[in-house]
Amino acid sequence: MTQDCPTVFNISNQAIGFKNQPIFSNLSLMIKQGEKVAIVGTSGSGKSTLLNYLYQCRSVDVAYCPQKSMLVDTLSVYHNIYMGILNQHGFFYNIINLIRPFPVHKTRVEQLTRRLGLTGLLFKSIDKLSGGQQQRCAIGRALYQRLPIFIGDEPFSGLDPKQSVELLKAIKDQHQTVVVALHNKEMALNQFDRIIGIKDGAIAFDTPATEVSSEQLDLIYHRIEHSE
Amino acid sequence: MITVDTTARKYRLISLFIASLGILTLLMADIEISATDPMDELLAILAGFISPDLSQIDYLAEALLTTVSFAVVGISIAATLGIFLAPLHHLPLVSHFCAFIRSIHELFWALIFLQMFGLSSITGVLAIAIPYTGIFARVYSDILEQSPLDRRHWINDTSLSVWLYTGIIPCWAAIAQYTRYRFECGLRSAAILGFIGLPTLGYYLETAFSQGQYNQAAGLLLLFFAMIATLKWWLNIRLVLVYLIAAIVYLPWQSQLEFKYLVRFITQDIVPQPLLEPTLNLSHLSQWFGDLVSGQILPGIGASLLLSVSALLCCGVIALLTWPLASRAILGRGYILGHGLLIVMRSTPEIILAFVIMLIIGPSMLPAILALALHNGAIIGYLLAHRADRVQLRVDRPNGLNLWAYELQPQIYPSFISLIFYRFEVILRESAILGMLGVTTLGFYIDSAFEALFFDVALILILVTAALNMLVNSISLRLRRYLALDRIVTA
Repeated sequence: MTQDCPTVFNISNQAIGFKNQPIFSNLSLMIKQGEKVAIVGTSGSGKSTLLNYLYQCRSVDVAYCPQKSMLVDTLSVYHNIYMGILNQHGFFYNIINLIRPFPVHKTRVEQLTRRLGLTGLLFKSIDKLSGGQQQRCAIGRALYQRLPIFIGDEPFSGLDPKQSVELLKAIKDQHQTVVVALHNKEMALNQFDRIIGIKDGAIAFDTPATEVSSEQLDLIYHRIEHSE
Repeated sequence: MITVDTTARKYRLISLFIASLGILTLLMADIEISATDPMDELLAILAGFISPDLSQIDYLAEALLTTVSFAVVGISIAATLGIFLAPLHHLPLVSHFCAFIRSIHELFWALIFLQMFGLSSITGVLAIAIPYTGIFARVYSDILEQSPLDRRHWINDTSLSVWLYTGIIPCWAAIAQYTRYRFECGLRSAAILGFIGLPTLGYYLETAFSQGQYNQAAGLLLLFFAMIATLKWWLNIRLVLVYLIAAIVYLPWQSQLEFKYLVRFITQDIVPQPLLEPTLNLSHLSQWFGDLVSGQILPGIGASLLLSVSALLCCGVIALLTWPLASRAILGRGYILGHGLLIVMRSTPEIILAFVIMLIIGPSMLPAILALALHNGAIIGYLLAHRADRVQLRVDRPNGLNLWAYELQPQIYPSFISLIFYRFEVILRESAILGMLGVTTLGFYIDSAFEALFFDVALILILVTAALNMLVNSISLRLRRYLALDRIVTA
């Protein structure tokens, strides 16, 4: 169904990573609008580098959720989520909102926090939340941007499977294109159209989720079980 | 109603408290600009910086060498004693003793030794060595406590080699780095000893400024900045011993010390006069002491606190305004300019800053407030910029002012508050010596007592100053613990 859609990412024969020591020496990858792509691979295989590169390719259209959520500890959930749209408003608008949140954003962010399972925590600061709550807040920041593409670097690590599926649904509802790095095998198989396996700085396989073989997954997941 | 429970709110409340206290004291303080033409004087001083001139100053090389020598010998003694006192610092007796000797400013120590040894190198060296010993002992002990090795290995084993191998060597890098930083402070201390007549840079600076020789004054200040800015090139840890020997050889050690005067000073001069009367008259003693309390001690403490709290507020404002100028994350390469500005601001000793500002705007409490605020604000600003540049940022970070307002400022604010609390102790200590410029803090009364040769009064006032510092330090420590500020990494 995505065959005729426009291409959102088109990388051909690129070296990605550090200048002198690229992690991917020669990468080609095409992602079309509407695709839901899971990226799997052992830690250190280059998933974060790839996602980071994709983000840089079209930072204006991408809501990004990095691996370490890196939220601002002292500020509230509300402000951390609002930070997603800082660039959509002027500085003075933002600074007023920092001191006294605008009702319109307050209402919207509050609705979002309910969906994220953060009800009642709108004005609690990040350092007073659990790891899982922080993770959900980071996803909230990405969702609040209302952009066409979502890129997440293991956004569900530390969350239970049920919550993860619900959050992924929220992400899919709001973004045409979703590219997510994952550790969870079931989730990759059941929730995504396409799975890209990464190993040693190269794409080991790139197949529709329905056609992925257990040998292919073992190549990746066998290693994961040992590496963790 | 959604409850607000953010860490930001806690810091906002602390800030509001400090700000209201600061505004209150600023309203009470005498902060008028009494000079008739402050702009003229400012322009004259700036003109001096455009054409600095060192050619007219006799004994310039001597002043420079004496300044460095005082710092080298004083800091070496202090660091050595500090290393040996550090493992004993957990004993209340030692920690109180160290707190006491560092709570008396080096200028006051110098004033005391001046009476005993005259304008001698012993006076200059001891005035630096004694308070810095107290500082080193505490900080070295803090460093040793964070040693990767278990403290118990050396705390109960008094053998020197165990202490050396398990304490000093693993912490050597931290100890060396701190000592180097304190050497810079020692240079500043040595320079300002010139304000009470010792032949260091401060002596010539004060003379040049008082006589309106701004070209010379500017030359001296620039020389001083250059000395501090180039520290990392000429202060090589391996050459310390060479410097130390050279400094000891260079300094003239003869003093006008005569034993009978020393005995007289200790047994008569510093003893409260009513106690020396043939018959002890208690009512006379209590009246003498009562007059001292109501006439000098209480007003002095009041003015010291007034000055310190006002300066603290201004210092905080300056730090918050200046750190972004020295932050690479915010300004990119432009940070180097702000960095330079903060180095100049923090390298100038408060007393010199206060002196210059007083020349410009005339005597009131304002020069002292501004000097303390600029110097300490620059130090905090510098540390905050450093901290901000180590904040890990996301690739999708905001930029420019949004980065400042939403990301960096909130992240470094805990460090800011923690530094402000710590700096208050420093400001209070410095506020006393600014009294020597005529602001009626405790230092003013101390200086006057020395001038009038009332050494007994001077000693009591110095002890009161020390007690006030120690009291405020312990309150501040408790407050920091209560507010959980002491666990924040500040540098």
